[in-house]
Amino acid sequence: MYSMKKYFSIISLSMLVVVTSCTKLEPKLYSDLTTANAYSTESDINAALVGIYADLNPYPGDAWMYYAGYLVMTTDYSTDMGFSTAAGDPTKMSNFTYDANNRYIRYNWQYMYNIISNSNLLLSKMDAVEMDETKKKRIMAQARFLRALAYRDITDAWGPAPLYTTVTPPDQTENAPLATVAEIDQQIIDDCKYGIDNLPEQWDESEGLSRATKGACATLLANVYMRAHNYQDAKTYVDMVLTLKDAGVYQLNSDFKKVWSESNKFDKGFIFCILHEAGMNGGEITNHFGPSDHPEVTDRWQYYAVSLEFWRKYNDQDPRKQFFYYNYEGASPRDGNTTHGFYYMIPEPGQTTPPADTVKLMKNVATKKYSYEMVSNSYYDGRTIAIFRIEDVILYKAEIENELNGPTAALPYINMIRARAGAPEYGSGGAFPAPASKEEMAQKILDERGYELVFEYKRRPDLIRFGKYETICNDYLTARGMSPVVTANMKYLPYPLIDAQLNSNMAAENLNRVP
Amino acid sequence: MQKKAIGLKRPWRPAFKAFMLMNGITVFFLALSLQLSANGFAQKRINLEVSNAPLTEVLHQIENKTIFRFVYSKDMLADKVVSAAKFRRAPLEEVLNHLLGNMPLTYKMINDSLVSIGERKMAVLAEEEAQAPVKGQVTDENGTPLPGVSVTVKGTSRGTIADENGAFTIDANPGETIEFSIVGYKVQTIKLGNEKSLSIQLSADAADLNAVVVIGYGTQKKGDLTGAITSLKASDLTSGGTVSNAAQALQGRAAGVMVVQNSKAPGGSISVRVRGSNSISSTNEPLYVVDGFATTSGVDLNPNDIESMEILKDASATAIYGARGANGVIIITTKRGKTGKAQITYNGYVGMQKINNPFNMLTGKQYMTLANELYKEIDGQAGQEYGAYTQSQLESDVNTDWIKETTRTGVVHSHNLQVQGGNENTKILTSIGYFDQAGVLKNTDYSRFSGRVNVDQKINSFIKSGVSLYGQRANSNIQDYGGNILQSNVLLGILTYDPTVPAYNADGSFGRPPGGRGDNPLANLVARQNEVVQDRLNGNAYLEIKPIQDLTARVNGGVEIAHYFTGKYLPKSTYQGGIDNGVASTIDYSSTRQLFDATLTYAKTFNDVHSFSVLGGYAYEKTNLSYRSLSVKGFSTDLFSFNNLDAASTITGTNYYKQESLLISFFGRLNYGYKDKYLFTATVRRDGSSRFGTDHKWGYFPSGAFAWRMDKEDFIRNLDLFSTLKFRLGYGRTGNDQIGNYASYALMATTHLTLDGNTNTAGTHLNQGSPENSALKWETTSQYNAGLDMGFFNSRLMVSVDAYYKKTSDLLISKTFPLYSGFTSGLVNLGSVENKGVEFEISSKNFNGKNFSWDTKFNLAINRNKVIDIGGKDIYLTSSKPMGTVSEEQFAVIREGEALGSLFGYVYTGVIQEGETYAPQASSVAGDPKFADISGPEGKPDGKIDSYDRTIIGSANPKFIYGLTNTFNYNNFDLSIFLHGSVGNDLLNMSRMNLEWNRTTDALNRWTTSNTNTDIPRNGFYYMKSGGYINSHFIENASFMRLKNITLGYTLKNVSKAFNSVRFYVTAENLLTFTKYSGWDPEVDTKGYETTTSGTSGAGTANGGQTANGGAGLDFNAYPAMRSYTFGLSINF
Repeated sequence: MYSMKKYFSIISLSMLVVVTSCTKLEPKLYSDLTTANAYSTESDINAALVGIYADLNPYPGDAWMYYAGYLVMTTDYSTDMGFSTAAGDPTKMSNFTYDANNRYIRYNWQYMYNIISNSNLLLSKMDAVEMDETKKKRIMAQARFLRALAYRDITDAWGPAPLYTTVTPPDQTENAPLATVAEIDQQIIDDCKYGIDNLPEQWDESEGLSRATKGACATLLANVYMRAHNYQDAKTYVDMVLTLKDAGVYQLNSDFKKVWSESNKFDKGFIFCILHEAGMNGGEITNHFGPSDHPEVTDRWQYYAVSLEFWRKYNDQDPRKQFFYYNYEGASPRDGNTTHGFYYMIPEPGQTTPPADTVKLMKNVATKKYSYEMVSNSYYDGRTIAIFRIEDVILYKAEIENELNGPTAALPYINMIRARAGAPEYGSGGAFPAPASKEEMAQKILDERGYELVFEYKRRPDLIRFGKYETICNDYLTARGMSPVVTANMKYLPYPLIDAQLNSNMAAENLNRVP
Repeated sequence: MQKKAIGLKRPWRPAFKAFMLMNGITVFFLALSLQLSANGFAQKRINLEVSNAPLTEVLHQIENKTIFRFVYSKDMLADKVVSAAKFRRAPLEEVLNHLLGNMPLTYKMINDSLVSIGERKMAVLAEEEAQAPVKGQVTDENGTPLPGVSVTVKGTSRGTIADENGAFTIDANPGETIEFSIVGYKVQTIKLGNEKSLSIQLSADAADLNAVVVIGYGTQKKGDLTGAITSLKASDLTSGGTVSNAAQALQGRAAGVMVVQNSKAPGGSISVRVRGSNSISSTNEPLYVVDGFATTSGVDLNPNDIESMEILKDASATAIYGARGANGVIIITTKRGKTGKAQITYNGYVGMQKINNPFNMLTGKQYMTLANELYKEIDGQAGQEYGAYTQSQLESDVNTDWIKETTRTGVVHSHNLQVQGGNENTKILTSIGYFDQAGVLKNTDYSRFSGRVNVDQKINSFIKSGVSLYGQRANSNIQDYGGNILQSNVLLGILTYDPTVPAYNADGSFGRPPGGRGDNPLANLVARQNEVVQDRLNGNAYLEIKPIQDLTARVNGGVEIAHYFTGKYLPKSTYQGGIDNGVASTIDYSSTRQLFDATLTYAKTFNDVHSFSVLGGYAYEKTNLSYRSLSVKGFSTDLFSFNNLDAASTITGTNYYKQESLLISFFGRLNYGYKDKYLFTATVRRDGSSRFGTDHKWGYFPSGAFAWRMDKEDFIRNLDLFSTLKFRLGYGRTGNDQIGNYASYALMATTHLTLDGNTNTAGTHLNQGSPENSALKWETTSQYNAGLDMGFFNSRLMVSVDAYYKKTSDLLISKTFPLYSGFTSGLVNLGSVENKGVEFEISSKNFNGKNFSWDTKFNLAINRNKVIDIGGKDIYLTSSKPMGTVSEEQFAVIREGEALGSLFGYVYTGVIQEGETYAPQASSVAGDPKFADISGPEGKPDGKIDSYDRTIIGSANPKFIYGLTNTFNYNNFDLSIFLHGSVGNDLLNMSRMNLEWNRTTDALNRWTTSNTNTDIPRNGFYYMKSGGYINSHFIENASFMRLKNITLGYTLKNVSKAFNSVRFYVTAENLLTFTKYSGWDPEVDTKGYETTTSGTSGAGTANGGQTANGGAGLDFNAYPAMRSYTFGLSINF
């Protein structure tokens, strides 16, 4: 028995040693942060703030979503401005035949709310972090500004929407009520005012040039008041920005084209923008907006391009009309027997047959904005995308003056933009008389915003704010030989299908929002 | 009393020695040389001194010291004990006469060294009469002499054993009955007439209830099994043909095991489902246990190394694997060295593969004319001439067949060399294998080099130890098959690219349409480098001690190291590589799994009636993984490819992570048998996993089973119908812990941004797929199983039927959250799924003659899957985009009351005709597709086609699957024909969506004002104003019956002294496929391979996930199916 016992005891002892030493189940986290430990120090908080900025430009290095370009599909397509013949979703946006499953609707919505949840999370953690009070307020102000910007984008596109300002567990969000635009506006106003009070007019390069500033908050705030047609309050904040301009914080670039030069990363015209550098943080901006088969700007996709109808609205004397790629001989040989390319020609209205068998009629036309003066021909680029620039605010000023004091008061501001672009000023005589009525001036301001801010995410909100979404879009469809299907309800896009399936309020609303 | 004495005989030394062994694996290599010299010292004289020792052990001692080897049935000798024996240089006869003298045993010299021990029938000598000698020979079915057969005259003590030629002489009288028996063959009796010479042929015992089956942490006799286990030997697995891995070898061979090769790409991933899908979000792949080592990557093992595969299907069998047993367990036992003459085996084959192309493409001219017509049909473009191609282009004669340009005849070859041998103490197997496949798509290939050493060392009769070492490197050139833009999906390009573009320009550069972006399919395929290297090294060792007669302690420890490397390079000849001066990236993924387990087994039979076996064990497993990737661009030369990232000008991206997980387990099993007639098994396992949330760290997984050997009951025997009959009943609970390593945490992701346009700043933000859930735990599957194993006609016909019901609850579901929550989805435990089914396995020896035999094996499985509860809300699964500019659409639904794999979309009812007004699609015009108005927001048709009108339009679940193998042997020829089929499943043919309207000749039959009698709409499904491209028009019946493998072989025996045998064979695979499916291949599952750890879709291990599980049944740009012809050779030296 003795020996057997010994065996047993050895075996059980060794097992016991192994077992007791090996029942610990907590895994080590090597490369992952959790929400519990990601907001402990000032440095953590700074990183979390950078994370929110980065959400404006998802997938750094290969950015194309949201403000890196995608947004143009919900702000400038499904208006008279953008046009695509690509099958599926682009055509559906161009032809106003989209439904709730359209990818552009879904992804822009997703990344907007991504900013909101990250901002709310950061704001919820601020109390526990020990740091200088001023710095703390600056961080909170930036987070609140970004949240406000996302809410503006949401309300521009969809109107009423769920409003979250605190962290909410995702399993408690089904069937969230839709806050009215006015309710959301109030939150945007509060956030912007906090930003105006706590943010600097400019940042040092070492702190990061493209951070939100007092001026950015004032511009956003003015924008929201104008959307509500509250011109009096809007004036306060537009004037605040123009005062900063007078103080030298902002300045119009003397050459409108230079604004878009790739080497012009940040100039005094930008109020709020996102920056890129072609290595680790490139964008696909030039790829998507650049021309197809062009001899100088080669290998670009012309994915986002302007409709011929919109381009034709530019006056021939407006140099901005030439800031597009059109009427050129293509870079690639037409076939194996020639070194010549096709001639890409803008057709005359109604022209349906090319004049020669080597000519291709253009379907849309690419802007030079995002491919002007390229630094290199690389696939990803280091271009800046403007969210607010001073031209935008000057045109707001024109709009406000027209509403409050009539066309004469507005004239100098609209002409400021035209003069800088080299376009004939209104009132300079000939074909450019000064608009006589408020309505006429409003139309000119709306047009000017289009000419100047083409493909800068403004067209849809502008048309809606001027009350002309339906008529301009229907006129555009008619000009293309299609039925004018746009209804008043369509000023707002349907909520993404994926969310409408989880929210009956959205599902009900969607029934009215599609053609 | 006896035990005490035995205990005293056990010295400490061997145990110590064994521990030393565990410390140094080198010893095993020393053993290699020991084995070579062992025979040289063999003796014929015997020295022996024992007392109160088991007979088997005494025989072992003799074997160890002499040249003699004994053949006997372990059962027969099981309880025999030698009380005392002492010999010095004694001859064998003297020793054996003494040892066996007072036991009912006798022996027979088969040759100079081989001794057979058999039963001696005791009888009353007084009744004996004088007998005459009868001579004879015993052979097997093929006429090969069978040595060692026990020959006895029934009812007497007369007995003998057949010699090495199967010859025997026995004294018997006419009228007496002679019985012939040997393990592995059926007992045969004959009543003696007047003959003086007998020729006896024994047939193998198909039932073979004494065969050993591997189960979790042990083995069991087949006859004693209580669970549902399919046991396949090497000979049952598919061999011959281009079988590159273990899972392929398994396909169609075991009832209830569905093997789908998701992609036919070389090295393409394979899904294995045991009894349907339990899980919605987690993986449904079974657990693989290779030589006791649990691994998730058992599928890609060299099939030549496999000795047997046991598929544990019901919970009673799998519960011993606890939180990982729910998807079934496949235990793979590799070949090990055997006692006896060393053998060298070579297996090799070479084959070629050709695609089966089902598509009729439009010519370049047809394509252009059509494109211009389609252009005019887009709204707002009526009357626009030459919108797509100009007049000058229409005159072009370029007509590139992209399928032809990009495919080739594939070549496969494989070589395997195995050396095995050993003596009673040391057994070694070494194996080297090489497999190489050049795929039918250019620049896609896969090769694997693998090596194995398995060593078993017996220290003495109560301690043994062993080691298995396995290493392999797989190299593949693969492409991305899963993406939806041309650059990331070569097959999309091959099938849809413009035929008017030449493959190459005159200057040798790749052709592109004027102004075209991206690469042509050939450039995509041959110019881009995409190399994946997968290394695996697995070493594990065991030590087994039997301190006393019935107790076995075993410890097992090992490590598996996997390293995957992916290198990609786009040279300057490609589109993006040209713009960026070469683009390179590398990914390194490595994982280390450490495993330790210890078991203690006590097995004892009391009073010959109650047999007990008790197992207790502990296991600890730790897995670490890390991932590193780096992307760069800007090279001065293409020469470096991805091998010198330093040479690039710009780093464009990096991604690093490291994770770990722990699994700790305690388990036990009790087997009890009463008279071998009533068999009970109970197991329990307690698993703790670091993956589970803090609220649920530990789970219990119990099971119980009962089996009744009804053939041992007189009332069954008296029926004279069944040769074997067993009824089995089991229940158990198992789990699935595959939920991601840190899934219960709210994780952050890192990002970066430039705030000055030059430098980058690091940032963090929420990981949108991972909200916190501290309650996260395993999925639990409760399973009932009832089975019946029947043998008829002396077990020539064996039938097994199993029926099961399983319910999986606390499903891990990736719950979709509204996007406005800031999250896209999160894992929760919610709801339940059930699977129920019936499985049949039939094997039959139809004909068994001297020169000719015919065997049939058939299996069939029926499984019904149903989602019972997912919290009331449907879960929708989203497809890839059929082309870059359209939205992903939902294509499958997980819905309560329906099966997983329910394809979902609009119901297509045909084309709207001219003059027809269809109110629900007011804006549609003639030629547009028409969809059925199924429902609306109020739950009833609302006169509008929108997302409410989508419904279930197909099912990926077959009604049943089957496999049928017929094997014929005629003299030296063998022929096997293997059919595999699936009935009643649908595929959503998303590839056709891109072909039918503008690429294949189907497009010529599209609707036009002059061709109205058609169901192909005027300009496809991407421009329509209502409905969706996912609709019933693209649902196809994917039932198939495939002549999977037909092999004809010829074996030459005793060719020369050098060869024991040589077998030649030719194989054709996929020679015939009967199916109505119009795509490349009805056996495909696109969602099964879209995400893998190697960073490239299309190869590697199937990962599962919600979309893979619920979204089976999608065919989108599958790798072409092929037909293979191989010639093979097996040589045994």
